Amino acid sequence: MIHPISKRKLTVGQQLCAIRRFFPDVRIRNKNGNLSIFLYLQPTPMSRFYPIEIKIHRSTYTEVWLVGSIQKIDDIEFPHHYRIDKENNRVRLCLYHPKKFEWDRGTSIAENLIPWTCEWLFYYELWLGNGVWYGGGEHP
Amino acid sequence: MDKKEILSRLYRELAGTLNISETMTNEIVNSYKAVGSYLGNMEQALDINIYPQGSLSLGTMVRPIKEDEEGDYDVDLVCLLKNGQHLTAKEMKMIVGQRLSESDRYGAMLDEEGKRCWTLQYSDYHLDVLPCVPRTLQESTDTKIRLSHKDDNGIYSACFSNPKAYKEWFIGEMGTVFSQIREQYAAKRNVEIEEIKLFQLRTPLQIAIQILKRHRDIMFADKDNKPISIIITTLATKAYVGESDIFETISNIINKMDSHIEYDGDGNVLICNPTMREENFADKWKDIPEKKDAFHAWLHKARVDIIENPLNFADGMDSLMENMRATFGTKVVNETFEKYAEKAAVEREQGLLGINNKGNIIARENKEAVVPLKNHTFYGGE
Repeated sequence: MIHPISKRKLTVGQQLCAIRRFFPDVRIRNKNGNLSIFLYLQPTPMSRFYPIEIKIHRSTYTEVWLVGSIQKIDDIEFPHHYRIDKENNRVRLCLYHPKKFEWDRGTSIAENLIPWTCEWLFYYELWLGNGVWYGGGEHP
Repeated sequence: MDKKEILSRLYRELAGTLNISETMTNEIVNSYKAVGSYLGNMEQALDINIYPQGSLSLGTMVRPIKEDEEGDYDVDLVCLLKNGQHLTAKEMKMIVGQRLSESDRYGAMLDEEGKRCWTLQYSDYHLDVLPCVPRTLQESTDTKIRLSHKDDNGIYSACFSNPKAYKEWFIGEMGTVFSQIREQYAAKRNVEIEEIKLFQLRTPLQIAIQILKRHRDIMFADKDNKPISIIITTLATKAYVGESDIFETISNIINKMDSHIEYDGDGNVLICNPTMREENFADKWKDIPEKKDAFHAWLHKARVDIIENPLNFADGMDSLMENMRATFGTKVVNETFEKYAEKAAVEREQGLLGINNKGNIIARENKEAVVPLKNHTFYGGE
């Protein structure tokens, strides 16, 4: 279940390679060593495609943003997120518990962050429809 | 999971929320058994037997469209006076009515006389008690009954029906799907097959009929000429060819049910009781052609709402939810999606899910799954 620290750190190159392999339609932009990975994710065949930007800051930390026109971005109960950037129409998603060792630099983005984003989007659509977050989780 | 699989899941959950609860079923069963033993004690010579017919016995009852927890369920009961073959149509009706009205308990609950039945009003349901006698004089395997029909002029005449045979036919048309589901139920609950009642099972045909009936109830909430349940049930059962998938069942039924409508030599519609050809469930369509139009309008709308729109025009689960609320009612649809979401959460916890290269959440064992969906904890503020 929870496996702390023991994993080896993945290099950015290994991360990108895995992402490209599983999600061939990604676009990757490198700006002064800060990487942005753009992809569209559709949590179910009944769902919209959501534009996602994953930022890797100088190989150290990673952020996942939902970008583009975001429904109910003004809702005070907008589900699990770190930040809402209304000006730029984007929300930084909160996908894992920082203290539960669910994520560290050894964790694969392709195998963890991206599936978790899909699941976030799955529950987000249900939240849009119902006003209830069914995905569980914790609030700080 | 493709669109049809999602719809199969949603429709199964929907039928589950539409279904009458076990508690309510038990309450109803206890109530009608009490009526049966009261009548039985009062008229011992007639050997009275009460049993359900229609949607309760077939397991196709649906929650009434009132938005409160449990609305007013309509329960149809056969009240068979086993030794009453000598009674006239009027006599059989009067004996039962008399006995009910002279009871302190039932007298207070009794409505005015209906065309064919006596109605007892309970807080969450009403029992329509249909007095009838065996059609044949001597002991036989014939399950046909003779019942009493009172017309607008107050004249009583005999009608015939055969609810037991209808139920047998309904079960038979489900073929091996029925026996498999019954065996699974018996194994899961550790009960004998003989003890299982049809209404305890959830077969694809029952599920499809419940969804169709609910669609009809919402469409005709403020309209006349609502297609009657027995017509929907009969045509759906005739159209059913043993599918086990829910979406496939319901879409094939919707696409094929009107091909089972027959016509007599004069072009009048025949939707016959399959166990008693002389009973035409659509006999009123001759005098009220609006009923025929209403049926076809309903079937067309059902095709659009249940099959075509969800398959072709869904734009997000939220929009599907919105459309389904309009089609089936807010409360049941909210409950449906809640159960759907809860099941997805359990599947993720059990490690059964993965995603494909579009991001669709699918079964991990599906060939298209590129990575598994691992456990994690959503965090952060609202």
